[in-house]
Amino acid sequence: MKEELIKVLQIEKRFESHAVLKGVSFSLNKHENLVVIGKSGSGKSVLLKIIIGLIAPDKGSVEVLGKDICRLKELDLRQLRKKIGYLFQDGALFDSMTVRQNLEFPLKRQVQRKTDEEIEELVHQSLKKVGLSNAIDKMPDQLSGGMKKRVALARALMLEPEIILFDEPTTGLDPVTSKEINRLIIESRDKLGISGIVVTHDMYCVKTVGDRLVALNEGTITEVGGMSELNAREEKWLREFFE
Amino acid sequence: MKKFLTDVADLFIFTANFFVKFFRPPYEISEISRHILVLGLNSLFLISTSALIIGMVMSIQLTPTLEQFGAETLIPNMVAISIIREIGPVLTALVCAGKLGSAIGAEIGSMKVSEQIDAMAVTGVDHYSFLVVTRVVATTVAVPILTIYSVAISLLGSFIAINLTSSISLNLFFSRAFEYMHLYDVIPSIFKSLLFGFTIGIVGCFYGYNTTKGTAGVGKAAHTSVVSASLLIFFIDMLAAEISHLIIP
Repeated sequence: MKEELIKVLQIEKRFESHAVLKGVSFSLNKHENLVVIGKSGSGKSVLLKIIIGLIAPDKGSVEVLGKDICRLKELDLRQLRKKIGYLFQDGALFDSMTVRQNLEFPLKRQVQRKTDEEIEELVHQSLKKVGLSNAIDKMPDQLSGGMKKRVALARALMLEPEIILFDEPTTGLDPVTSKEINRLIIESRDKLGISGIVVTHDMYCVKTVGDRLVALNEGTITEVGGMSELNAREEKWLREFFE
Repeated sequence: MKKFLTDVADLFIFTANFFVKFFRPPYEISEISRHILVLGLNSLFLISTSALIIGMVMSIQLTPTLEQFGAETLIPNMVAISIIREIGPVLTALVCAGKLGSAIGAEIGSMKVSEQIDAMAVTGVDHYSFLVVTRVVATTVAVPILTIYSVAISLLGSFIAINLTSSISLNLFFSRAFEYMHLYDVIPSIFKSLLFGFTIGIVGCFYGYNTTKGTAGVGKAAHTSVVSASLLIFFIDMLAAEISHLIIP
């Protein structure tokens, strides 16, 4: 039986009168990339923010690495978050800090801190992984959109997480940079053993990185399976994604 | 009315959270020092200019009235007392509310709308300690220092203005300025400045943290920080005056 790292159970979320999620359930297995597809505004990003505890659900539960994220105290939640990486849609780099400081930021604030030399080494390694060693002393506003995403991915990898949540990792990027990001997502799984939830509506990304697919539509989730199953689905809204 | 009461309650909770986090490690000493330096230097020019002019204007306006009573020797003392007790702390706090309050509100607001605060949260870092505690401590320390500086510049302004029409040495000016000055003229002002600094920091951070609706929201956060902090400064000033009169009749 596969080990489940994340179990989302009957999540409901409403913003004022608008119900965004209406009883969403799914799970993420170890060493897999689960792709969540859905139109813009379907609640995909909200779902990721609920999983990492940035937004509280109205109903339901989210179990991450065996802990119910909705019931954790602040300190425990912060400890758990160190095992989860998060790639924001626009990178969300700290714009008053250099690339180096962005990457050092979480490491320098650990209880059991690494030495400055170890942190320096890790920063160099992470930037090398994403091919941006020469950008180490640049400010975020000196980077292109693709570079920002790659630095953000390097930052997400700094704490050596077990899971990474990718929010629209390739949106707004040129095809070459998109391919590069997709390659890095696959590498994270294959070389580092990191499982991931990838929220996207980029079908190339879905086909490239996805091991398993779920679709979010009008607040409910449909388990699709693999890419071959997606091609066989009859639902009009699902077919629209790849036709 | 409901919105106002909700805001007050939220600000109260936000402030209570500061005192909880203030005593809890990690202590971001380097970040606090950096903020004190940046915030202080940013307001230095505006404070210097306004303080110098206020000092000069006060002397110029007091001179004709006091001359009628042959009491122009009291000008340094009257200027010093009014600047140390009231004008220095309030003027500095208002300048800082405009300069620092808006900067803090806008900076934290833009971090909020660009998800940088969320990005800090997901790395397991206590973003409140890093962003709020550091800035509030910095303003609480910086505003009293700036107040002392602004008082000194105002007195210098007064000295220059007096010397435009008559002649007085710097030594004589300062001995007359502090002739009737007591510790209870100075202590409440420093205490008041601490409260002003705290208010500017906490209000700026509060509105920054509650920014919504994108870049327009950032502008609104900056504006609301200045308005609310300025109003609170007057309110605290009034309360401080009442309390100091009760303690020191």
